Amino acid sequence: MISVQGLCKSFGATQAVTDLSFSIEPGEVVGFLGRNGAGKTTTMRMLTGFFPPTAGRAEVAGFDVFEQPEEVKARIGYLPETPPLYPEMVVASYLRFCARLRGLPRGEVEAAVDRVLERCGLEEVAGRLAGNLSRGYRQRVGLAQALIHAPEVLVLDEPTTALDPGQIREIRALISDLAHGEEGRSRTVILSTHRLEDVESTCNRVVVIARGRLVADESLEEATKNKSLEERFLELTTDPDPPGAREEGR
Amino acid sequence: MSRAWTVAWRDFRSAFLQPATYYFLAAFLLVASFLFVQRLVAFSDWSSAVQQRAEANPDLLSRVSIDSFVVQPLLGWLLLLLIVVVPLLTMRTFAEEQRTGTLEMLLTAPLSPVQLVVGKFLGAWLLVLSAITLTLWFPVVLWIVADPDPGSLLTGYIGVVLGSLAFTAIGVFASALTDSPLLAAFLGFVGLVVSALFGILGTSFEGPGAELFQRLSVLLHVVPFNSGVLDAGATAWLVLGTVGVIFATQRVLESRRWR
Repeated sequence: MISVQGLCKSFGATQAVTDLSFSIEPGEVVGFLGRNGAGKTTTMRMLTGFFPPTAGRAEVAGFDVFEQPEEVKARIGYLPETPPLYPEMVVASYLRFCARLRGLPRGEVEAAVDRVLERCGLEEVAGRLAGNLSRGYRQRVGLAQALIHAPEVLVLDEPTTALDPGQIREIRALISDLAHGEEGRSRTVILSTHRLEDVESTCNRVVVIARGRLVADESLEEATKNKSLEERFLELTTDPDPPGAREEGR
Repeated sequence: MSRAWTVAWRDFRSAFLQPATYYFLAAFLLVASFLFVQRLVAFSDWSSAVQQRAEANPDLLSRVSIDSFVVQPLLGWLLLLLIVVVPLLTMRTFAEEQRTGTLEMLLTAPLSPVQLVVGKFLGAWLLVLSAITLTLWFPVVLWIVADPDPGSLLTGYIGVVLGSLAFTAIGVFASALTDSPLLAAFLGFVGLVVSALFGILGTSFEGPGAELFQRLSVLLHVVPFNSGVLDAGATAWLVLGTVGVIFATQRVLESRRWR
Protein backbone atom coordinates (compact mmCIF):
# COMPACT_ATOMS: atom_id res chain seq x y z
CA MET A 1 0.00 0.00 0.00
CA ILE A 2 2.89 2.31 0.84
CA SER A 3 6.30 1.81 -0.67
CA VAL A 4 9.27 4.06 0.00
CA GLN A 5 12.58 3.62 -1.80
CA GLY A 6 15.79 5.49 -1.10
CA LEU A 7 13.97 8.57 0.12
CA CYS A 8 16.23 11.55 0.97
CA LYS A 9 15.38 15.06 2.06
CA SER A 10 17.76 17.87 2.81
CA PHE A 11 17.01 21.43 3.82
CA GLY A 12 20.02 23.43 2.70
CA ALA A 13 23.00 21.75 4.33
CA THR A 14 20.91 19.76 6.82
CA GLN A 15 20.16 16.20 5.86
CA ALA A 16 16.79 15.45 7.48
CA VAL A 17 16.10 12.03 5.93
CA THR A 18 18.73 9.76 4.37
CA ASP A 19 18.13 6.79 2.08
CA LEU A 20 14.92 5.64 3.75
CA SER A 21 13.26 2.50 2.38
CA PHE A 22 10.33 0.51 3.74
CA SER A 23 7.04 -0.84 2.56
CA ILE A 24 3.69 -1.26 4.26
CA GLU A 25 1.06 -3.80 3.31
CA PRO A 26 -2.65 -3.02 3.10
CA GLY A 27 -4.35 -3.19 6.48
CA GLU A 28 -1.20 -2.83 8.54
CA VAL A 29 -1.09 -0.40 11.43
CA VAL A 30 2.48 0.81 11.61
CA GLY A 31 4.11 2.80 14.36
CA PHE A 32 6.68 5.19 12.96
CA LEU A 33 9.06 5.68 15.85
CA GLY A 34 11.91 8.05 16.42
CA ARG A 35 13.12 10.66 18.82
CA ASN A 36 12.26 14.29 18.34
CA GLY A 37 13.99 15.60 15.23
CA ALA A 38 14.63 12.11 13.80
CA GLY A 39 12.81 12.98 10.57
CA LYS A 40 9.34 11.56 11.24
CA THR A 41 7.40 14.65 10.24
CA THR A 42 9.64 15.22 7.21
CA THR A 43 8.96 11.67 5.99
CA MET A 44 5.22 12.03 6.51
CA ARG A 45 5.17 15.34 4.67
CA MET A 46 6.85 13.66 1.70
CA LEU A 47 4.35 10.79 1.79
CA THR A 48 1.40 13.17 1.82
CA GLY A 49 2.79 15.28 -1.02
CA PHE A 50 3.36 18.39 1.08
CA PHE A 51 6.88 18.69 -0.32
CA PRO A 52 8.96 16.56 -2.70
CA PRO A 53 12.00 14.54 -1.65
CA THR A 54 15.52 15.52 -2.65
CA ALA A 55 16.03 11.99 -3.97
CA GLY A 56 14.22 8.65 -4.01
CA ARG A 57 10.60 7.78 -4.62
CA ALA A 58 7.45 6.98 -2.72
CA GLU A 59 4.30 5.22 -3.84
CA VAL A 60 0.90 5.10 -2.22
CA ALA A 61 -1.71 2.65 -3.51
CA GLY A 62 0.36 2.17 -6.65
CA PHE A 63 0.60 5.87 -7.51
CA ASP A 64 3.82 7.84 -7.42
CA VAL A 65 3.46 10.60 -4.85
CA PHE A 66 5.22 13.20 -7.01
CA GLU A 67 4.07 12.24 -10.47
CA GLN A 68 0.40 11.66 -9.62
CA PRO A 69 -0.03 13.75 -6.48
CA GLU A 70 -3.78 14.20 -6.84
CA GLU A 71 -4.41 10.45 -7.09
CA VAL A 72 -2.36 9.95 -3.94
CA LYS A 73 -3.87 12.88 -2.06
CA ALA A 74 -7.35 11.56 -2.81
CA ARG A 75 -6.44 8.27 -1.08
CA ILE A 76 -4.66 9.63 1.98
CA GLY A 77 -6.14 11.13 5.09
CA TYR A 78 -3.55 13.21 6.91
CA LEU A 79 -3.53 14.58 10.42
CA PRO A 80 -0.58 16.98 10.79
CA GLU A 81 1.10 17.49 14.15
CA THR A 82 -1.07 20.52 14.93
CA PRO A 83 -4.65 19.64 14.00
CA PRO A 84 -5.64 22.01 11.17
CA LEU A 85 -8.61 24.04 12.39
CA TYR A 86 -10.16 27.40 11.66
CA PRO A 87 -11.01 28.69 15.14
CA GLU A 88 -13.81 30.93 13.84
CA MET A 89 -15.66 28.04 12.19
CA VAL A 90 -18.25 25.71 13.62
CA VAL A 91 -17.10 22.05 13.63
CA ALA A 92 -19.81 20.78 11.27
CA SER A 93 -19.32 23.52 8.69
CA TYR A 94 -15.55 23.02 8.82
CA LEU A 95 -16.05 19.33 8.03
CA ARG A 96 -18.44 20.26 5.23
CA PHE A 97 -15.71 22.48 3.80
CA CYS A 98 -13.18 19.62 4.03
CA ALA A 99 -15.60 17.30 2.25
CA ARG A 100 -16.05 19.72 -0.65
CA LEU A 101 -12.33 20.38 -0.79
CA ARG A 102 -11.85 16.64 -1.15
CA GLY A 103 -14.23 16.71 -4.08
CA LEU A 104 -17.13 14.78 -2.55
CA PRO A 105 -20.29 15.15 -4.65
CA ARG A 106 -22.73 17.69 -3.23
CA GLY A 107 -25.28 15.01 -2.33
CA GLU A 108 -22.80 12.98 -0.28
CA VAL A 109 -21.37 15.78 1.83
CA GLU A 110 -23.95 15.70 4.63
CA ALA A 111 -23.80 11.90 4.96
CA ALA A 112 -19.98 12.02 5.10
CA VAL A 113 -20.03 14.73 7.78
CA ASP A 114 -22.55 12.78 9.87
CA ARG A 115 -20.46 9.63 9.51
CA VAL A 116 -17.20 11.21 10.75
CA LEU A 117 -18.97 13.15 13.51
CA GLU A 118 -20.33 9.86 14.78
CA ARG A 119 -17.11 7.92 14.32
CA CYS A 120 -14.96 10.46 16.09
CA GLY A 121 -17.47 11.09 18.89
CA LEU A 122 -18.09 14.69 17.87
CA GLU A 123 -21.88 14.79 17.68
CA GLU A 124 -22.17 16.84 20.86
CA VAL A 125 -19.75 19.54 19.70
CA ALA A 126 -20.85 19.67 16.04
CA GLY A 127 -22.37 23.11 16.57
CA ARG A 128 -19.48 24.60 18.54
CA LEU A 129 -16.67 26.86 17.37
CA ALA A 130 -13.50 24.91 16.74
CA GLY A 131 -11.51 27.58 18.59
CA ASN A 132 -13.38 26.85 21.83
CA LEU A 133 -12.69 23.11 21.92
CA SER A 134 -10.33 21.30 24.28
CA ARG A 135 -7.16 19.77 22.85
CA GLY A 136 -8.66 16.31 22.91
CA TYR A 137 -11.64 17.44 20.86
CA ARG A 138 -9.43 19.41 18.47
CA GLN A 139 -7.52 16.21 17.85
CA ARG A 140 -10.80 14.44 17.15
CA VAL A 141 -11.80 17.14 14.67
CA GLY A 142 -8.36 16.72 13.07
CA LEU A 143 -9.02 12.99 12.75
CA ALA A 144 -12.49 13.66 11.39
CA GLN A 145 -11.15 15.91 8.60
CA ALA A 146 -8.60 13.22 7.73
CA LEU A 147 -11.41 10.64 7.46
CA ILE A 148 -14.02 12.67 5.61
CA HIS A 149 -13.33 11.07 2.20
CA ALA A 150 -13.03 7.52 3.64
CA PRO A 151 -9.34 7.22 2.67
CA GLU A 152 -7.54 3.92 2.25
CA VAL A 153 -4.49 5.25 4.04
CA LEU A 154 -4.39 7.26 7.22
CA VAL A 155 -1.22 9.20 8.10
CA LEU A 156 -1.16 10.53 11.65
CA ASP A 157 1.66 12.74 12.90
CA GLU A 158 2.04 12.44 16.68
CA PRO A 159 -1.68 12.09 17.33
CA THR A 160 -1.31 11.84 21.11
CA THR A 161 1.19 14.63 21.78
CA ALA A 162 -0.03 17.37 24.13
CA LEU A 163 -3.01 15.37 25.38
CA ASP A 164 -3.73 14.46 28.97
CA PRO A 165 -3.74 10.76 30.00
CA GLY A 166 -7.51 10.43 29.68
CA GLN A 167 -7.53 12.01 26.23
CA ILE A 168 -4.58 9.84 25.16
CA ARG A 169 -6.53 6.73 26.06
CA GLU A 170 -9.57 7.92 24.14
CA ILE A 171 -7.60 8.88 21.03
CA ARG A 172 -5.75 5.53 21.07
CA ALA A 173 -9.02 3.65 21.24
CA LEU A 174 -10.31 5.79 18.40
CA ILE A 175 -7.25 5.07 16.24
CA SER A 176 -7.56 1.32 16.86
CA ASP A 177 -11.16 1.60 15.79
CA LEU A 178 -10.30 3.63 12.69
CA ALA A 179 -7.92 0.93 11.51
CA HIS A 180 -11.10 -0.85 10.53
CA GLY A 181 -12.26 1.02 7.46
CA GLU A 182 -15.78 1.79 6.32
CA GLU A 183 -18.02 -1.05 5.16
CA GLY A 184 -15.65 -3.79 6.24
CA ARG A 185 -12.71 -2.53 4.17
CA SER A 186 -9.33 -2.55 5.82
CA ARG A 187 -7.40 0.64 6.27
CA THR A 188 -3.66 1.16 6.36
CA VAL A 189 -2.50 3.41 9.16
CA ILE A 190 0.91 4.91 9.73
CA LEU A 191 1.28 6.89 12.92
CA SER A 192 4.36 8.65 14.15
CA THR A 193 5.02 8.95 17.83
CA HIS A 194 7.66 8.95 20.49
CA ARG A 195 5.23 7.47 22.98
CA LEU A 196 5.90 3.76 22.98
CA GLU A 197 2.58 2.93 24.63
CA ASP A 198 0.84 4.31 21.52
CA VAL A 199 2.60 1.66 19.50
CA GLU A 200 1.98 -1.16 21.96
CA SER A 201 -1.72 -0.43 22.16
CA THR A 202 -2.49 0.26 18.49
CA CYS A 203 0.18 -1.03 16.08
CA ASN A 204 1.22 -4.41 14.77
CA ARG A 205 4.49 -3.25 13.27
CA VAL A 206 7.21 -0.74 14.04
CA VAL A 207 9.49 1.26 11.77
CA VAL A 208 12.20 3.04 13.73
CA ILE A 209 14.31 5.89 12.40
CA ALA A 210 17.19 7.73 14.02
CA ARG A 211 18.88 10.82 12.60
CA GLY A 212 16.97 10.38 9.35
CA ARG A 213 18.01 6.75 8.77
CA LEU A 214 16.06 3.53 9.10
CA VAL A 215 17.32 1.53 12.10
CA ALA A 216 14.60 -1.11 12.44
CA ASP A 217 11.59 -2.42 10.56
CA GLU A 218 9.99 -5.32 12.42
CA SER A 219 6.76 -6.68 13.81
CA LEU A 220 5.75 -5.72 17.31
CA GLU A 221 6.40 -9.33 18.48
CA GLU A 222 9.93 -9.26 17.13
CA ALA A 223 10.63 -5.91 18.68
CA THR A 224 9.43 -7.03 22.08
CA LYS A 225 10.73 -10.63 22.00
CA ASN A 226 13.51 -10.40 24.57
CA LYS A 227 13.04 -6.99 26.07
CA SER A 228 10.53 -4.24 26.52
CA LEU A 229 9.79 -1.96 23.60
CA GLU A 230 11.34 0.88 25.56
CA GLU A 231 14.67 -0.94 25.90
CA ARG A 232 14.62 -1.85 22.23
CA PHE A 233 13.77 1.73 21.22
CA LEU A 234 16.55 3.26 23.30
CA GLU A 235 19.02 0.68 22.03
CA LEU A 236 18.13 1.59 18.46
CA THR A 237 17.92 5.33 18.74
CA THR A 238 20.66 6.23 21.18
CA ASP A 239 23.64 7.82 19.52
CA PRO A 240 26.51 5.32 19.70
CA ASP A 241 29.18 7.99 19.35
CA PRO A 242 29.31 9.64 22.76
CA PRO A 243 30.95 7.12 25.12
CA GLY A 244 28.70 5.96 27.90
CA ALA A 245 25.53 6.65 25.95
CA ARG A 246 25.01 2.97 25.21
CA GLU A 247 25.33 1.96 28.82
CA GLU A 248 22.86 4.65 29.68
CA GLY A 249 20.56 3.29 27.01
CA ARG A 250 20.59 -0.19 28.43
CA MET B 1 -12.23 24.93 -10.57
CA SER B 2 -15.07 24.09 -8.21
CA ARG B 3 -12.48 23.36 -5.51
CA ALA B 4 -10.95 26.80 -6.01
CA TRP B 5 -14.44 28.16 -5.47
CA THR B 6 -14.77 26.06 -2.28
CA VAL B 7 -11.64 27.76 -0.93
CA ALA B 8 -12.82 31.20 -2.06
CA TRP B 9 -16.25 30.86 -0.50
CA ARG B 10 -14.86 29.62 2.82
CA ASP B 11 -12.43 32.53 3.00
CA PHE B 12 -15.12 35.03 2.14
CA ARG B 13 -17.56 33.69 4.72
CA SER B 14 -14.89 33.31 7.37
CA ALA B 15 -13.91 36.95 6.93
CA PHE B 16 -17.35 37.92 8.21
CA LEU B 17 -16.81 35.80 11.31
CA GLN B 18 -13.87 38.06 12.24
CA PRO B 19 -14.72 41.27 14.09
CA ALA B 20 -11.71 42.98 12.48
CA THR B 21 -13.33 42.71 9.03
CA TYR B 22 -16.25 44.83 10.21
CA TYR B 23 -13.91 47.47 11.66
CA PHE B 24 -11.97 47.72 8.41
CA LEU B 25 -15.11 47.92 6.26
CA ALA B 26 -16.72 50.46 8.61
CA ALA B 27 -13.62 52.66 8.66
CA PHE B 28 -13.41 52.53 4.86
CA LEU B 29 -17.07 53.43 4.45
CA LEU B 30 -16.84 56.20 7.04
CA VAL B 31 -13.84 57.94 5.48
CA ALA B 32 -15.17 57.50 1.93
CA SER B 33 -18.60 58.85 2.96
CA PHE B 34 -17.00 61.81 4.70
CA LEU B 35 -15.04 62.68 1.56
CA PHE B 36 -18.16 62.27 -0.58
CA VAL B 37 -20.38 64.45 1.59
CA GLN B 38 -17.67 67.07 1.96
CA ARG B 39 -17.22 67.17 -1.81
CA LEU B 40 -20.97 67.33 -2.39
CA VAL B 41 -21.40 70.25 0.02
CA ALA B 42 -18.49 72.09 -1.58
CA PHE B 43 -20.10 71.53 -4.96
CA SER B 44 -23.46 72.87 -3.89
CA ASP B 45 -21.84 76.02 -2.44
CA TRP B 46 -19.86 76.48 -5.62
CA SER B 47 -22.73 75.86 -8.01
CA SER B 48 -25.09 78.25 -6.21
CA ALA B 49 -22.37 80.89 -6.42
CA VAL B 50 -21.94 80.17 -10.13
CA GLN B 51 -25.66 80.11 -10.80
CA GLN B 52 -26.09 83.60 -9.37
CA ARG B 53 -23.58 84.87 -11.88
CA ALA B 54 -24.42 82.77 -14.92
CA GLU B 55 -28.20 82.63 -14.93
CA ALA B 56 -28.16 82.41 -18.69
CA ASN B 57 -27.08 78.76 -18.88
CA PRO B 58 -27.20 77.02 -15.48
CA ASP B 59 -28.07 73.58 -16.84
CA LEU B 60 -24.88 73.23 -18.85
CA LEU B 61 -22.77 74.48 -15.97
CA SER B 62 -24.09 71.98 -13.45
CA ARG B 63 -23.81 69.10 -15.89
CA VAL B 64 -20.15 69.78 -16.49
CA SER B 65 -19.25 70.42 -12.92
CA ILE B 66 -20.86 67.54 -10.98
CA ASP B 67 -18.71 65.09 -12.90
CA SER B 68 -15.42 66.94 -12.61
CA PHE B 69 -16.13 68.39 -9.16
CA VAL B 70 -17.52 65.32 -7.34
CA VAL B 71 -17.46 62.10 -9.35
CA GLN B 72 -13.89 62.11 -10.64
CA PRO B 73 -12.15 63.18 -7.41
CA LEU B 74 -14.34 60.77 -5.45
CA LEU B 75 -13.34 57.73 -7.50
CA GLY B 76 -9.71 58.82 -7.20
CA TRP B 77 -10.13 58.97 -3.44
CA LEU B 78 -11.73 55.53 -3.41
CA LEU B 79 -8.62 54.08 -5.06
CA LEU B 80 -6.33 55.79 -2.57
CA LEU B 81 -8.44 54.44 0.31
CA LEU B 82 -8.26 50.97 -1.20
CA ILE B 83 -4.46 51.20 -0.99
CA VAL B 84 -4.91 51.24 2.79
CA VAL B 85 -7.87 48.87 3.10
CA VAL B 86 -6.98 46.12 0.61
CA PRO B 87 -3.82 44.98 2.48
CA LEU B 88 -5.91 44.74 5.67
CA LEU B 89 -8.53 42.63 3.91
CA THR B 90 -5.98 40.36 2.21
CA MET B 91 -3.41 40.00 4.99
CA ARG B 92 -4.82 36.76 6.40
CA THR B 93 -5.20 34.84 3.11
CA PHE B 94 -1.95 32.89 3.32
CA ALA B 95 -0.12 34.33 6.34
CA GLU B 96 -2.76 33.19 8.83
CA GLU B 97 -2.94 29.71 7.31
CA GLN B 98 0.82 29.34 7.43
CA ARG B 99 0.83 30.48 11.05
CA THR B 100 -1.90 28.12 12.27
CA GLY B 101 -0.91 25.14 10.12
CA THR B 102 -4.11 24.88 8.08
CA LEU B 103 -2.03 25.51 4.95
CA GLU B 104 -0.56 22.04 5.42
CA MET B 105 -4.08 20.62 5.19
CA LEU B 106 -4.85 22.67 2.05
CA LEU B 107 -1.61 21.66 0.36
CA THR B 108 -2.14 17.96 1.08
CA ALA B 109 -5.73 18.09 -0.18
CA PRO B 110 -6.29 17.02 -3.78
CA LEU B 111 -6.27 20.45 -5.37
CA SER B 112 -3.47 21.91 -7.44
CA PRO B 113 -1.41 24.86 -6.15
CA VAL B 114 -2.91 26.99 -8.92
CA GLN B 115 -6.45 26.12 -7.79
CA LEU B 116 -5.50 27.02 -4.24
CA VAL B 117 -4.00 30.40 -5.15
CA VAL B 118 -6.88 31.26 -7.48
CA GLY B 119 -9.34 30.33 -4.73
CA LYS B 120 -7.50 32.46 -2.18
CA PHE B 121 -7.42 35.39 -4.60
CA LEU B 122 -11.11 35.11 -5.45
CA GLY B 123 -12.12 34.96 -1.78
CA ALA B 124 -10.10 38.07 -1.00
CA TRP B 125 -11.39 39.88 -4.07
CA LEU B 126 -15.02 39.17 -3.12
CA LEU B 127 -14.28 40.83 0.19
CA VAL B 128 -12.72 43.87 -1.52
CA LEU B 129 -15.71 44.01 -3.87
CA SER B 130 -18.06 44.10 -0.92
CA ALA B 131 -16.11 47.10 0.41
CA ILE B 132 -16.59 48.83 -2.96
CA THR B 133 -20.27 47.86 -2.97
CA LEU B 134 -20.74 49.75 0.29
CA THR B 135 -19.98 52.99 -1.57
CA LEU B 136 -22.77 52.49 -4.11
CA TRP B 137 -25.01 54.81 -2.16
CA PHE B 138 -22.89 57.69 -3.55
CA PRO B 139 -24.19 57.35 -7.12
CA VAL B 140 -27.73 56.92 -5.81
CA VAL B 141 -27.50 60.21 -3.91
CA LEU B 142 -25.85 61.90 -6.89
CA TRP B 143 -28.76 60.86 -9.05
CA ILE B 144 -31.27 62.25 -6.62
CA VAL B 145 -29.62 65.62 -5.96
CA ALA B 146 -27.95 66.26 -9.30
CA ASP B 147 -27.68 65.08 -12.84
CA PRO B 148 -24.39 63.21 -13.24
CA ASP B 149 -23.27 61.62 -16.49
CA PRO B 150 -24.20 57.93 -16.05
CA GLY B 151 -21.57 56.82 -18.57
CA SER B 152 -18.57 58.27 -16.81
CA LEU B 153 -19.92 57.16 -13.42
CA LEU B 154 -20.17 53.60 -14.75
CA THR B 155 -16.74 53.54 -16.39
CA GLY B 156 -15.31 55.14 -13.25
CA TYR B 157 -16.63 52.27 -11.13
CA ILE B 158 -15.42 49.74 -13.70
CA GLY B 159 -11.99 51.33 -13.33
CA VAL B 160 -12.13 51.03 -9.55
CA VAL B 161 -13.16 47.37 -9.80
CA LEU B 162 -10.35 46.62 -12.29
CA GLY B 163 -7.87 48.47 -10.09
CA SER B 164 -9.07 46.42 -7.10
CA LEU B 165 -8.16 43.24 -9.02
CA ALA B 166 -4.52 44.29 -9.22
CA PHE B 167 -4.51 45.62 -5.65
CA THR B 168 -5.96 42.37 -4.30
CA ALA B 169 -3.41 40.28 -6.22
CA ILE B 170 -0.58 42.34 -4.70
CA GLY B 171 -2.08 42.01 -1.21
CA VAL B 172 -2.44 38.23 -1.54
CA PHE B 173 1.11 38.00 -2.88
CA ALA B 174 2.38 39.86 0.21
CA SER B 175 0.42 37.46 2.42
CA ALA B 176 2.20 34.47 0.86
CA LEU B 177 5.60 35.95 1.76
CA THR B 178 5.25 35.66 5.52
CA ASP B 179 3.41 33.86 8.29
CA SER B 180 2.56 37.04 10.14
CA PRO B 181 -0.67 38.71 8.99
CA LEU B 182 0.50 42.06 10.38
CA LEU B 183 3.72 41.94 8.37
CA ALA B 184 1.70 40.83 5.33
CA ALA B 185 -0.54 43.90 5.66
CA PHE B 186 2.52 46.14 5.93
CA LEU B 187 4.24 44.54 2.93
CA GLY B 188 1.04 44.75 0.89
CA PHE B 189 0.63 48.41 1.82
CA VAL B 190 4.24 49.14 0.83
CA GLY B 191 3.71 47.31 -2.46
CA LEU B 192 0.59 49.33 -3.27
CA VAL B 193 2.18 52.64 -2.24
CA VAL B 194 5.17 51.85 -4.45
CA SER B 195 2.83 51.11 -7.34
CA ALA B 196 1.12 54.46 -6.71
CA LEU B 197 4.48 56.24 -6.48
CA PHE B 198 5.45 54.81 -9.86
CA GLY B 199 2.61 56.84 -11.33
CA ILE B 200 3.60 60.06 -9.54
CA LEU B 201 7.24 59.56 -10.47
CA GLY B 202 6.37 58.73 -14.06
CA THR B 203 4.37 61.93 -14.56
CA SER B 204 6.77 64.18 -12.66
CA PHE B 205 9.79 64.01 -14.93
CA GLU B 206 10.61 63.49 -18.57
CA GLY B 207 13.03 61.00 -19.99
CA PRO B 208 13.40 57.35 -20.92
CA GLY B 209 12.54 56.06 -17.44
CA ALA B 210 9.36 58.06 -17.15
CA GLU B 211 7.42 55.90 -19.56
CA LEU B 212 8.50 52.72 -17.79
CA PHE B 213 7.30 54.07 -14.45
CA GLN B 214 4.00 55.07 -15.99
CA ARG B 215 3.55 51.63 -17.48
CA LEU B 216 4.12 49.95 -14.13
CA SER B 217 1.61 52.09 -12.26
CA VAL B 218 -1.73 50.54 -11.39
CA LEU B 219 -3.24 53.96 -10.70
CA LEU B 220 -2.33 55.47 -14.06
CA HIS B 221 -4.07 52.59 -15.80
CA VAL B 222 -7.26 53.37 -13.92
CA VAL B 223 -7.18 57.09 -14.81
CA PRO B 224 -8.71 56.77 -18.33
CA PHE B 225 -11.78 55.01 -16.89
CA ASN B 226 -12.27 57.91 -14.54
CA SER B 227 -12.66 60.32 -17.43
CA GLY B 228 -15.36 58.23 -19.06
CA VAL B 229 -13.28 56.08 -21.40
CA LEU B 230 -13.46 52.28 -21.52
CA ASP B 231 -9.79 51.69 -22.29
CA ALA B 232 -9.19 48.21 -23.74
CA GLY B 233 -5.41 48.48 -23.42
CA ALA B 234 -5.60 49.48 -19.76
CA THR B 235 -8.13 46.71 -19.09
CA ALA B 236 -5.82 44.15 -20.65
CA TRP B 237 -2.86 45.49 -18.66
CA LEU B 238 -4.75 45.32 -15.36
CA VAL B 239 -6.11 41.83 -15.99
CA LEU B 240 -2.82 40.41 -17.26
CA GLY B 241 -0.93 42.09 -14.42
CA THR B 242 -3.32 40.44 -11.95
CA VAL B 243 -2.80 37.04 -13.56
CA GLY B 244 0.96 37.58 -13.46
CA VAL B 245 0.94 38.41 -9.75
CA ILE B 246 -1.29 35.38 -9.02
CA PHE B 247 1.23 33.20 -10.85
CA ALA B 248 4.10 34.78 -8.86
CA THR B 249 2.18 34.06 -5.65
CA GLN B 250 2.02 30.40 -6.58
CA ARG B 251 5.81 30.37 -7.16
CA VAL B 252 6.45 31.99 -3.78
CA LEU B 253 4.24 29.48 -2.05
CA GLU B 254 6.00 26.63 -3.79
CA SER B 255 9.48 27.87 -2.92
CA ARG B 256 8.56 28.46 0.72
CA ARG B 257 7.27 24.91 0.95
CA TRP B 258 10.21 23.26 -0.76
CA ARG B 259 12.84 24.92 1.33
